[in-house]
Order: sequence, then C-alpha cells, then structure tokens
Amino acid sequence: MRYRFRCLLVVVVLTLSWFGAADSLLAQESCRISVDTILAARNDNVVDPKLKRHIGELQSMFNYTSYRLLSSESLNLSVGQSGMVSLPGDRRLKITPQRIHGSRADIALLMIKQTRTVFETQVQLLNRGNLFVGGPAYQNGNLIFKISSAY
Amino acid sequence: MTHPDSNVCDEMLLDRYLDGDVDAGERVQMEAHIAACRQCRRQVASLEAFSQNLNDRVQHAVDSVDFVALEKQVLNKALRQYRSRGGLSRFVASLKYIIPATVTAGLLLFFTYSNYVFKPPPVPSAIINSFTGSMSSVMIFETPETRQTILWYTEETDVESEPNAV
Amino acid sequence: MHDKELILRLQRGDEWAFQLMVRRFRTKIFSIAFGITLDTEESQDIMQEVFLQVYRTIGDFRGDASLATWLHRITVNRSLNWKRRWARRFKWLHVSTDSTDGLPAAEPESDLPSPEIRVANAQTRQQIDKALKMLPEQARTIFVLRELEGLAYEEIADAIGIKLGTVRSRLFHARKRLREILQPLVEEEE
Repeated sequence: MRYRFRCLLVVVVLTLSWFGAADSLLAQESCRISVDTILAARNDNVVDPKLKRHIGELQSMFNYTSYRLLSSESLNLSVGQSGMVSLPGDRRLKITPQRIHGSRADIALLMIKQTRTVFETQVQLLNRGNLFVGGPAYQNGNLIFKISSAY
Repeated sequence: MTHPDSNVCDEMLLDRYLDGDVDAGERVQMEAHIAACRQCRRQVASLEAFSQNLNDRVQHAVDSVDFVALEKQVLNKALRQYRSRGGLSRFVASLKYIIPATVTAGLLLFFTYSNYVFKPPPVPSAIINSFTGSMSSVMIFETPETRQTILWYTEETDVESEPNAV
Repeated sequence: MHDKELILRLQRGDEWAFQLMVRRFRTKIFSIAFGITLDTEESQDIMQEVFLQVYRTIGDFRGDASLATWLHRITVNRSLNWKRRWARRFKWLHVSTDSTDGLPAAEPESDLPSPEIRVANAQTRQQIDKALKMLPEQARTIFVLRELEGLAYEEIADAIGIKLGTVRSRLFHARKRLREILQPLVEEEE
C-alpha cells in the first residue's frame, strides 16, 4: 500500500513537472516583434490617422505637436534568430530575441547607421509592452521607434 | 519559417503574406513565388474573392436592418432599466445588498489599506539590462503612471539635439 | 468625442453619450454578430443585448482595454453563446422547402441595380453562408474578426482572450478549411 502510494506520488510529481516544463517550452519559442517608425515634429499639428490609437500615449510622453507614421514592420523571430528592420536615414535595427521567460522577452537590439554601430542594448521587454527609442534628427523632426513584442 | 526555395508552396507563409505579417525579405519571396505558381495565385485570388464576398454578404445584411428603429428600442430599454431602479423599488432592491455590501466594503478597505502600505510598484514596460554605444548622450526615462520605458539618445553626427523632447 | 471622454460620460449615466456610443458602434457589433451567427434576427438581438450590458456594467469598465476591444469581447461572447441559448428554447422559423440549415427563405430581389463587379445575389450569399457554417465556430469567429473588422492578431487575441499563437493557428486552419471548400468552385470556374 505504502509502495503504491509512493509510486503514485512520484507519477503525480513527474506529471506536474512535465506540464510546467512543457508549458514553458512549448509556449515561448518565438515571438513577434513590431517596429513602428514615427516622425515627431513641432512645426505643424498633423497626427497620422494610423497613430490615432497611440496618440494619447505619445502626447503624454513627448511634447511634439505632430506625429507621422513613416513605416511599420513586423518580424516573427524564433529565439536566437536575428531579424533586420530598415529605418530612415540609412539606419538598420537588428533584433534578436534571446530568451522568453514568464511575461518578458530578453531581446538584443543593435542600431546601425551606414556601417557604424550606433548602440547595442539588451532589454527585457514585457509581453505586449513597448519600448520607445528616440530620437535621431530626421528631416524637420526626430525619429521615434516604437518597439513591441508579443508571444 | 521561410523556405529557401521559393518554388515550394508554404501555406502558412502565404497566410501571413495575406495578413501583411511578413518582413521585407519574405514579401519579396512570396511575390516571386506567387508570380510563378499558378496554384498559389488561384488560392490567393479565391481567398480574396471570398473575403470580398463575405464583406458584401454582411453589408447586405446590414442594409436590411432598420438601425434607427433598433437604436430607439435599445435606448428605451436602457432608460426603462435605469428608471426602474428609482424610488421604492430601488430601496427594496438595495435592502438585500446592504449587509453583504457592508461586509465586502469592510474587507475591501482592509485589503486596500494593506496593499497601499505594501503596494507593489507597477512594472516597467522594458528593463534595460545593458547599453553601449558611440553617441553624445543617452537618457532612460519612464512615464510616471504607466511606466512606459523611453530610451532617448543623440547621435554624435546630429547637428541639432533635442534635450527637451520629453 | 474621444473614447476616454465618452466612457466618463457613460459612467455618469449621460444618455446622449449612450446614444452616441450606440450610433458609433451599432454597425460594427451587428456585423461581427452576423459573421458568427449568420442570422439577421439573432444579430439584432445580440446587438441590443451588448449595448444593454454595456449600459449596465460601464461602471465596472477599468479602461485596461479600449472601448472597441471591450465591445468586441462582449459581442463575441454573446454571439458564441447564442446557439447554446437557443438549444434550450423553442423557436418557430418560417423556412421555405428550398433553404437548408434552418435559414430563412431568400428575400425577394431588390429593385435597385446591383454592382456588376461584386455579384451579391442570393446564390452567392447562400454559398458564403454554407462555406462559413462549415467552419468550426471558434475558427469562424477569428476569420470574421480578421476579414470583416481587419483586426490585428493582438487585437483578436484580446477580444477572445486567447494567445497570439492560437490566433495564428486557428486562422491558418480556417483558411485551410476554406481552401478545401472553395476548391471545387475554383475548378468549376475554370
């Protein structure tokens, strides 16, 4: 009886551990990274209709009067896989998800201008959270890159 | 995720292409594949036609509805709902909620107070673990309420800087 | 009126704000309900129920999602539950002997001219209904939210309360099933 109970306990523990491991293994192997390039300026009051959803957020963070969405790109990347997004001003952003754990994804970002590395950063981005990176001068304003991840 | 050989039909990639959920490289690859593959071209055309027909189908249903009358019905029902809560019926209806409401309020006050004292901070949208670069300045901010993370930098070659952007 | 202000007014019981909300969202809610149920009458009922529920519970709305997302969620839930509700009730439906699946008889053709390019005749409508009914409900819901409302994957995940990966896979399976259903029609046209 004791032996059977111990066997049952071992089976239950192993099964629960498997579900826990499976959940973390199966659910987080890839993620979708979106990069929106926004041109923020102060010489007019134009707000791009595509940014309507985010205008409240942008206005609470920055004191620009106009926001234009220049481009929007999404990448589906597996952990360890790198993707490149072209940005205005001969810039490129290399994105590499390194680990996805719980509610955050560890992501390496490398900003390149022409052939030169501008910066390199490692961030932990919340699932469906945003990181705003700005603001190199461009045309009559500044660029803001809204980087978000979802998995 | 993407096939190196653009002659192989990849239905999942085709789906993502239809949804605009592809990067520039994948888009070019899919466009080349669709141009060369009759089957995929037919599938794209068929799904797009179906989508258009679906929209037309729903529009046809929408056109058959008298929304003005429906709107009046909804407003009347909502107001009736609201008004029936007034007067004696409101008092009588509220009686059966007073005791559990008082208990709940008491519990809520207790837990709210405990949480307020030991309130955990809301989480930042991004945590910067490391940062290296060649630039004239970099600042990291967080918005006070929603804790959105902002990384603001000025490139060395930028003529104008924007210290007062945020 | 911006969403935030609309919600504040609704929470204060502003009747005009409620009317504005109904007018703004009525077509969208009806369209989603119809896409899922394929029943005009039920969709009208669902639309009313959604607005009444919003009116009753707007005080509970925490603003963690947009008003549109919240309305999507309620509409999808009510639409998916309608079948279970009708299984318990007894409903008379006047149907012609030609229609299938309890669909009401085809309405008489309108006197107004139809666009030549998009052929919205009764036969096409029945084909669409038939194809959609062959999709499992959950897959149909996601397909409708994507194709009718143009929602992004994340918005669909928020509306239904599922993971992003699940949205992708259900949408893939919905389209795969539709390809199989539409295949004979494509071949027929050729």
